[in-house]
Parts: sequence; C-alpha cells; structure tokens
Amino acid sequence: MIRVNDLWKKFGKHEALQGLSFSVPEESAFALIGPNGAGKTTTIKVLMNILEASCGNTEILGVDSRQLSPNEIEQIGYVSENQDMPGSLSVSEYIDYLRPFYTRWDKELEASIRQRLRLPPERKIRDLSHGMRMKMALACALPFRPKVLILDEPFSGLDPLVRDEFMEGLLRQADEMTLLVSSHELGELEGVATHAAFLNEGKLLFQDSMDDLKLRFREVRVTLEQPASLPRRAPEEWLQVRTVGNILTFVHSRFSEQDLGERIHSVLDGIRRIDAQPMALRSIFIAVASEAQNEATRRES
Amino acid sequence: MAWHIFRKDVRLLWRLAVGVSFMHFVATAGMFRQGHFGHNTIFPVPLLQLFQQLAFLAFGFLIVAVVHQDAIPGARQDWLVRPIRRRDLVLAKCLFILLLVHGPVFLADLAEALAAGFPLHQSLAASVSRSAYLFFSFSLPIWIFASLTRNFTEALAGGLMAFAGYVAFQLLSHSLYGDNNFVIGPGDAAAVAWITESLQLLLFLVGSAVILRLQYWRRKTWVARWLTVGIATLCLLMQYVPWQTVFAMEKSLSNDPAAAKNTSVSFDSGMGKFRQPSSPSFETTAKQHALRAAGMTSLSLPLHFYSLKANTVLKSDRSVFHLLSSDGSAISVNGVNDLEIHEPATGNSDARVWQTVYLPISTYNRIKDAPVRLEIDYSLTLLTLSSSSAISALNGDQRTPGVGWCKTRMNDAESHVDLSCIEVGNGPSCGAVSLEYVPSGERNPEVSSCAPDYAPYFRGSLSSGVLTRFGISLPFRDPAGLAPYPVDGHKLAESQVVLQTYRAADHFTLRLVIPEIRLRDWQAD
Repeated sequence: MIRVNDLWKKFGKHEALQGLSFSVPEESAFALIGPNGAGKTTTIKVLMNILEASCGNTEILGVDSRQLSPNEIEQIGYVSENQDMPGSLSVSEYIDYLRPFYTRWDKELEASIRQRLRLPPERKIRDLSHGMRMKMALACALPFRPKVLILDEPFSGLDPLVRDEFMEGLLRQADEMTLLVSSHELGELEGVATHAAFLNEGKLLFQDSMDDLKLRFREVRVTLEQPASLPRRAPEEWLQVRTVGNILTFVHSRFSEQDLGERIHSVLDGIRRIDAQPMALRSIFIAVASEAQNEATRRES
Repeated sequence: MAWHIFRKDVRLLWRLAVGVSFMHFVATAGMFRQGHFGHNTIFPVPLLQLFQQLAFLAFGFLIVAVVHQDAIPGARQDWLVRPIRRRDLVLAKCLFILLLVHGPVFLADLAEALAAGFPLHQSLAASVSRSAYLFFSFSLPIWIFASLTRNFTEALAGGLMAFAGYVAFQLLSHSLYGDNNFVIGPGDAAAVAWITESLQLLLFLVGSAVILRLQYWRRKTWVARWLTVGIATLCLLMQYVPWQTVFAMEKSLSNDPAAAKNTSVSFDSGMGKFRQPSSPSFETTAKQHALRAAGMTSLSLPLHFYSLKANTVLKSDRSVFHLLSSDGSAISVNGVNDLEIHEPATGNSDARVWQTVYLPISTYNRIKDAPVRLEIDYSLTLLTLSSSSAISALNGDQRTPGVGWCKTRMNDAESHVDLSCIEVGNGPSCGAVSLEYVPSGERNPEVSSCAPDYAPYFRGSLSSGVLTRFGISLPFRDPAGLAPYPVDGHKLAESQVVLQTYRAADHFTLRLVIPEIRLRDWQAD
C-alpha cells in the first residue's frame, strides 16, 4: 500500500533522509516514530509528492508518488499539524469548496464527523484554535472514505480532551483504511498502531509489527548478590544498561524467554534473580532513541 | 473545476477586486473628463495619470494575491494534498485575471471610447487590442513572478531584486552600447521599436508557457526561477538586435513596397555652402553654443533627393555615418537624424536639404584640409497622404475618419489657434497642419509633426486609456510684432485649419557615398 525505497533527501548540505526503506501493509496502522529531526515529516511530504526526493522513490496505492494524479489523491486523506488552509474562509465554506473535488464524498458522514468534532461552521479558519484546526483538517480528510490516511504529528499541541475527540473521530473511520501516523504521542498510538518504524537522523532503526515489538522488547532487572557494576562488554541487544546497588537493569531488544537466563549468565556472575517485564511503546521508543543518541555522541567524539 | 476554484478566489478577493476596479474607473472617468483641452477636470492631468498608474499597481497586487491563494512554492499548502487538477488551477487563475483585472480595464476602455462618440466596432477593436497587449506585457509577467513566490513579502523582495538587476543591466549595457547606431538600443523611441518589443513579447510568451508548466505541473520552483532570469536577460538583450535586421523586417512589412523605388539621393555641391540666416533664431544660437561647449563642430552637407512623389513625407528612421580618412581609417562622427522632407501636392519631385554632421573640433582641425570619404546609410520611410480635412479655425468641432474627433479654439494669449484631437486606438503620428483663409486660399506656414510608430496594433500604456490625444498650436500673431502672418487674427472667423495626415507606405534604404570631400568647405558658419 505504501512503500519507501532507499529514500534520500538533502536540504542544502543537511541529509534529512539517508537511504530510508520501509513498507506499510494494507489496512495496517503504521506508526512512524522518531525524535525531532528524525525525518518523519520529510518522509511523509515526499510520499505525498509535496517534496521531491533527492534519490530513491516512494509509492502509495501502488503508484510512484511523483506520478500521483487526482485519481489517487482522491483516495488519500492527509492531516498535518502544519497544514495551511485558506484562513479567510469559514469552516463551512471550505468544506463546501472541497466537496466537489471528491467523487466519493459522503455528505452524511461529513455531517456526523462535523457534529462529533463540534466544529463551528461559521467561524473563519484563521480564528480557529490549533486544536480546532487539527479537527478541521481531520473533518476534511475523512468524509471521502480514503483508502489511505496519513497523519503527520496529529496530536502535537492538543489538550487531552481534544485529543480524545480527535482519536474518537479517527477510530470510527479507521477500520477499512491504511493508516500512517507520525507522532511523538506514543501513548495515543499504543492502542491504534499495528506496526511501528523507528527513525533516527534520517535512518530507519527498525520496523516491526506491534506484536513482535512487544515480544522483542523487555525491561530486564537482574538482582545480584554483590553490588552491581556495568559489564565490560554488554551484548549489543542490551540497551540502557544501568546499575543501582545490587540491581542491574537494561532493555533487551531481542528478547527470547528460552535464551535469556543463559545469555545473562554468560555476562554476569552471582545472579540472584532475573525479572523481565513487557514494555510500553513509549518506553521502547525512549530506549531506542536514547541508544541512538548515545551512539551518535560516541561517533562524534 | 476551474470555475469552482475561480468562485472560491472571487469569494476571497472580491472586496479588493471591487476596490481596484473602482480606482481604475475613477481614474478613467477623470481622464475622460479632461476633454480636448484639459480644462474640464477637477484634478490636473498628471495627477490623474499617476492615479491611473496606481490603479494598475493595485491590479498587480490583485494578481499576486490571487496566485498566492494557491501558492506553488512551499510545503504547507492544503491544496497540494487535494485532488485538484493543475490544468483547472491554471485556468481558474487565468479566468480571474481576465475577468477581474482585464474585465474592468476593458469595460472602462470601451465605455470611454463609446462616451467619446466613437463607433462600437472601432471602440471594441481598440479596447480588445489594448487588453490583449496589457495581458501579455503586464499581467502575464506578474502572474509568472507571483507563481515563483510563496507570499507577498517574498514577491516584494523578489521584485526589488529584479528591479535592481534590471537597473544594473541597463546601466552596464548603456555604457557599452548606448551610442551605438548599429543596434536598436534600449528604450529606443524608434518607429520600428515595436518589432523588438513584439519579439520580446513572443519570447516571453513561449518562456511563460514553459515556466507555468514547470511550476503548476512539476513545482520546480528553482528551475523556474533561473529560467525566468534567463528569459528576462534574453529579453533585455533583444534590445540590442542589429538595427539593419529590425529595419529589414519592417521593410518586408511595407504597405506599398514600390512607392519609393525611384527615390535616390546625391551630394549636390552646386548648392554651395550653408549660410545661416542673418538673424538666426534663439534656438539655433543656443544649439551652436552648446556644440562649442561640448568641443564639437558641425558640417552642413548639401543633398539632393530625387523622384519624390507628390503629397508624401520622406522620413529618416536612422542615419549611420562613416567617415574614412585617406589611409582608410575610420573617424568617429555623428549625424543628426532629422531628415524629414514634405513633398507638397504641387511639388517638383525633387528636394534639396542640408544634412548636419557633428564631429569633435580636434578631429576637424586635424583633417579639415585632407580629402576624406563620407558614407551615409539611410533607413528611410516614405509616408503617403492618408487623410486631408479641414475644420473651422475657431470653435471647430468635427469628426474625421482616421483622424478622430477634433476641436479648435484660440489660446488665452490670442496668438495661436489650438487644434486638439482624440482618436480611439492609434492616432495619426505624422501630420502637417496649416491655417487657411477660405475666401482667398492664403495659408500660413505649415506646422508639421512626424514621430511615427509603425506598430500595426494598438498598445496603449498604463497611464493613458484607449483614447489617443494629439494636438498642435498654429501661430497667427507674433506677440513681438516682428513676424507678419498672411492669415492673422482678423481673418480667423473665415479661416479653417487644414490637417493632412500621412501613413507609412514604404520602408527602404539608401546609401550615399561621397568619395572625396574636404570638410573645411562644408563647416557650418
């Protein structure tokens, strides 16, 4: 449904994307996760043919993004935190303007979305708050029942109430569509995303289904008989290795129930107890992002 | 969907569009109210012209605003993620410019021409011609420029940069080619300048199509920006098309290519040396002083033109002078391009004239006694009579086809009869006028004005409307009492203004070679 192939994007001398590749399966909810400047928005803008790739290509609905025609765009919903709509038009006027461009626009669905999102019809778009504007963007992206919905940082700057309304509006329509979401708000994605990809400095750290991610990542806590010290050579799949008193903790990025004890015993002595807890997406992201940051710092120094 | 997008733009910009159109209508009405002699207006004509130009500036702003409603550069515009066909977007913008910018201009022009009493077909033709010219020379460049920028600030900054680049180019090129007679030259008021202008427009039109295609279909803003700079530079360089090429093109468009086939010129030493009148005019004396101050001297060469048809004007469009010393080296000289021979109906088909040539005094002193060779390349146009009409000398009010609506009056000092005419579209640019006492047929000396423009279409300008105004003052009394006129104030009541206009018939070149000449013999006194 969505494919990114060896994508490079340069802004002057800065390489925003460095050979990025991933694919989004049909009818999945794909979370694109990464710290600021990781290249999430750039990737999405290349996908939507808003920006041109320096090298590589992207496909959406089986069509090269550079060849997207109105026929394809009609099947793609797009919501972004930095989306400039004509401020002088009112909410109603702009929706009235957009409607004829979509052959599959469902007026009843539009009415129900507008009602649910409580958009003031007569208010000018420039007078809407940020949250209202995001809801407006969503209201303009759903009534034509897009096959693909792309959300670029949709939750940033939204208060919890608006976020709930936004999510509710989104989830009611999300069943039959492929969803690509870039966000920092990992808590919101937790219940929605079926797949996730982690980006850092324009590179893909990994891509996996949420089920696999949850199986792969564990927060491991090892209680030792003696005060713990950092192992001289920790395995590379151990992230964020820390010690406090007799306890050593780390994030295991290739967790396997069978191998865990054996692997730890090969590195540490005097083990009294091993606990492995499943991790939330947010914790996985923080662990991976911190590790990537440390790696970058190490490289620079 | 073009109409749908157009309606959205109208909804967003109708207030601005109405305001600008109102400005334009007020300026046009003011210009119209000035009448023939400019005494009916509340505001002075230059102020109205300035207001007219401001209205066009506002139209330019409106074009930028409508293009920026769906700006091309940038990555945040909502329309980029909507199924909007680029063709519809371009059509919508074009429709807006045509209907809300050129619509009011066209309507104001048409209303002005009809209000001045010109027939509908003539008024329509001139209004359409002016609108088309303005679209290609004014609106399209602004549209292109706006499509390369994302907001008004960027457009303003880009506009200032473009203006600075234009001034720098003109200064540089003027210092290199300013006095070069072999090229047509920047801002040349030559009658054939319309050809380079048309070539520039044609190039720009082709370039515009490419730029719009690049921008609206492929959003290649930087490529389009550099292409615009390239096309603009090429357009500017077109100012330097060789004169002979441009004149050859004009020649091929002659209305009557055989009209001047027998016309020739020779150096007529038998006319003797040019003698200034015993009491030269103030203007002549001032010219001589200015020449001396500039370290220049002048020669007056007697020339004889043969086989001129009756009722014609022979006008020099450009004269290029080559002075060669006996050893073949070229000496820099300038000639005066003021050759204008009026051959009357009763003429003998020959004309003798003086050709003025300037050269530095130091050069003159060095070679004045040596034999030199002089060659003059004339680019000439023969204009034939296109209309002849007469109107009462006092309070005349008459319409003549090809001339327009003319009125006469006596000036406030009661020394001249003022003739003022209004024509829709291009007015006559070459004419001769005289004051005639009807009972006896006596005439005062003819006053002529010939600054032709051979453009086959009406261009107009931003500060003038669809009406062309022209006029001339005919003296009948010398306030100093020195010059008596055959038709004086007492005869005015029974006098008429005879107006003859001329139209270009044939463009041709003549080469005069004087194999050996001694400059000293022909220095003007």
